Amino acid sequence: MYFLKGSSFWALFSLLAFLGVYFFKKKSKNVPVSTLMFYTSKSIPAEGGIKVSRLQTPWILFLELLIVTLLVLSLAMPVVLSSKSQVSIILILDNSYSMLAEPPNGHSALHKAKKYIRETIFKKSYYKVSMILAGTESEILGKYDMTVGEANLYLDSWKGDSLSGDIVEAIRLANDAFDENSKLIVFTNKGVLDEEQVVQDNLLWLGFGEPVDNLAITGANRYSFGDMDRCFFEFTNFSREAKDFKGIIKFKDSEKPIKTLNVNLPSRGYYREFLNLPVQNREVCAQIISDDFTLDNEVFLPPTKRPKVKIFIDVSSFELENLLKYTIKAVGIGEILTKESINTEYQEKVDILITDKSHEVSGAASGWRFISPEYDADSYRAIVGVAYKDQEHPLCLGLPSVRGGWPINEAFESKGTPLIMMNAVTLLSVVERDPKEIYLNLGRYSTLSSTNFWPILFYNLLAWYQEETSESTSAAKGFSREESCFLELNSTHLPSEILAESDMQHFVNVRWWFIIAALILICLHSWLTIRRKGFVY
Amino acid sequence: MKKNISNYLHKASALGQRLEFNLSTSFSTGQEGEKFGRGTGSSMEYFDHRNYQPGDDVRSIDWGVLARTDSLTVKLFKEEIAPEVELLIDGSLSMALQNSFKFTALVSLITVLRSAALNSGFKVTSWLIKDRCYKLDDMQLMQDRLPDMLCDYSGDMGKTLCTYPPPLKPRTIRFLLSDLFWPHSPTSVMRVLSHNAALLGVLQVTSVADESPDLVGNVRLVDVESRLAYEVVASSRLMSTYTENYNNHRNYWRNSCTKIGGLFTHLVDEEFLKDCLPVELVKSEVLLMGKG
Repeated sequence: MYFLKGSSFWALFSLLAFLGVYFFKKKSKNVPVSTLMFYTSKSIPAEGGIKVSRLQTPWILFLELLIVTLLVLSLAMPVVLSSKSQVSIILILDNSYSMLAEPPNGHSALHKAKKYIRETIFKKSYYKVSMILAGTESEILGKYDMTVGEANLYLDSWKGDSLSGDIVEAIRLANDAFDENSKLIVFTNKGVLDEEQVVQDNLLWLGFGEPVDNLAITGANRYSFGDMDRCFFEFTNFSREAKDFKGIIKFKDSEKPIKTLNVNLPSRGYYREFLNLPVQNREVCAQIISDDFTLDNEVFLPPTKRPKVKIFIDVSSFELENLLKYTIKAVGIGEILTKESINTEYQEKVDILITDKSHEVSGAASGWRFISPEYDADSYRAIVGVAYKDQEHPLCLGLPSVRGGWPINEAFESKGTPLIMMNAVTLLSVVERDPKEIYLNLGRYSTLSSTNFWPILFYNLLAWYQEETSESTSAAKGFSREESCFLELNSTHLPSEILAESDMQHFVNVRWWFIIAALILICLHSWLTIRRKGFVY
Repeated sequence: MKKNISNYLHKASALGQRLEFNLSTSFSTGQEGEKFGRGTGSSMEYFDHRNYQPGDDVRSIDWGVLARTDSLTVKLFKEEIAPEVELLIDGSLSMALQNSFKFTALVSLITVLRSAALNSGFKVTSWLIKDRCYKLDDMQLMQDRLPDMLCDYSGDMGKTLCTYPPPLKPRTIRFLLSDLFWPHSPTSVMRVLSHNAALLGVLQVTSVADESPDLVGNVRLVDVESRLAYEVVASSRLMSTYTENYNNHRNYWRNSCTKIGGLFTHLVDEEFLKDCLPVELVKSEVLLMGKG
């Protein structure tokens, strides 16, 4: 059984009044008299007798307390759950890093939101919970319609580690993926968005933020400028008052600062620093020292020129080997390794192994593998059609459309996620776990190498490798001015009960149990206290 | 407390020895007696002559006077009486109301009447009325033992008197000593007690608190017999209701008593204890002040 209006329990304090009256009455003056015959009006008919009240005994007090308790419990809206009683709710959790901002002497919005969820929602087992993490992209946390116990386990995955929180996108995902009758509850640190974007009757917006001062790096870039590397950094004061900003710029692998910054920034003012450095293969780092919120206080800029990708080619076909060497050289960001070089001082330095063999190649075990079937194999056939590709994948960026025939090796086994398919046959696939494996089913007599598909594919492969293995962090992802400004954070009223009356239609209201029991006890109380046959006059 | 009661009993006993019961025809108990009453009776001792009146017993005609004077006269002889006083004492809890002199007044009244009866040469029999009527022996009525008399009954006295009446002797003087605070009809009680009585006296003994209760504010009135409680706010309306009902009750008893030829009197404890003299009994000449 549950009580939906727990605030009604405050009325139980009225029991103290009954106790007070009882003990007060016990102390009131007892006057012994010879008889009570003469104290009531003669108008009462003789056959009725005189009504005499009994002393208030502890049993009668207990009855009164029980009656009041039952009536208070009936006020608290007692319900029991039927099989249809569970209420489906979807929690949309703002995963932006601004949720971690802590006001002085307070807790972050993330902390407060988790606490509210655990105390208000997860304590009631009649909820079926689904959760969506609203970050740069929305993702479903856990599974659909979890119990509160299961959802509680997943809640700690909410860490506020996204560069931004796209609430609108998360709401759209919720509307598309879940039951439209489910209640949506947004947990964020901002006030309600523009009404046009969010107009839903079943949406509850809860804000846990409050304005916090912040100093942040809001811009960083590095590019080649002739024979120099030019670095640019922007620092912004998101505070209500002017602040002294202290920072340093240095190489990541050195403690010695290239430049020390000490500037007084006005409220919402910014400072830009430009540096010209000799071209070098070292990451440049900028840090703000004088600020408590550290997530946006540090940025690394990678070198403009990335090291070439080291490739070892181990294919059976001499023709294919030459073709691959020519292509990689033309792409310009790869370096072909020889067998001698990987067996000596360059062991385990192969970044990508291109092969048509299934066995491991010594010295290349830790790198990516690009696998295609043996070029000289006889078991091939041509398929004709239109190739469908995953346009968002780094390997497929900019690849031209493929129409016509594509010779495949029927014995070749592709693994992983298909990226290009034709007539339900996987032509290009990738296993995403590291070290990655890329499978290209390309038979002999293919003319693909004579199209611009071929060099673009290998350029994408090498560029993807460089991107994935680059040590650059914050700058590549970029902080946003909007997200680092904590002055607009806001909170909303937090209701003690998130369910509306209409949400409880499947609950079985058992209020009448308590009311009927109280009425029966009231009748018993009346009988005990009022009617005892007195004297007849 | 006992010492105080003893003082009052002493005073009552002394007063009782100065009182005598009035011997008159109405007190005779039958054909034979131990004393000669003031009236005429059927004893053998000559008393007086008077002229014959139609209806007189012809055996009492004085034939000698007729022979001598030719006029019809009858002889009168002295009556013989055997006077006895029977006291019917209320043994209910209300007679021992705490914080009052009701019990003291009761035992003092018993002492006065007993002393007066003994002083008059009467026998005294006492009955304590509870669930039954219990005869008290002389030892229990002694001055030093009377304060130990237990008034602890919490039932209807009238019901006991009507259902289990005591074996009262004919032609005795009977006194009912009670506060009369019972619901039973006084008519039936009077009928029982007055049967074959020479005289029936109802002496209502009450306390000052019964006459005019001193109540203020919120009080819980507790009936000492039934232990029932009545929570009230003392108001003038409540008091007027009480007084009206109280007086009606007393009048009902008085009328019932008078109707059967009995005597009704009312004593308030503190007033009575001033001199322990039952004034009404003296005024009505039931009791006479003796010479000493």
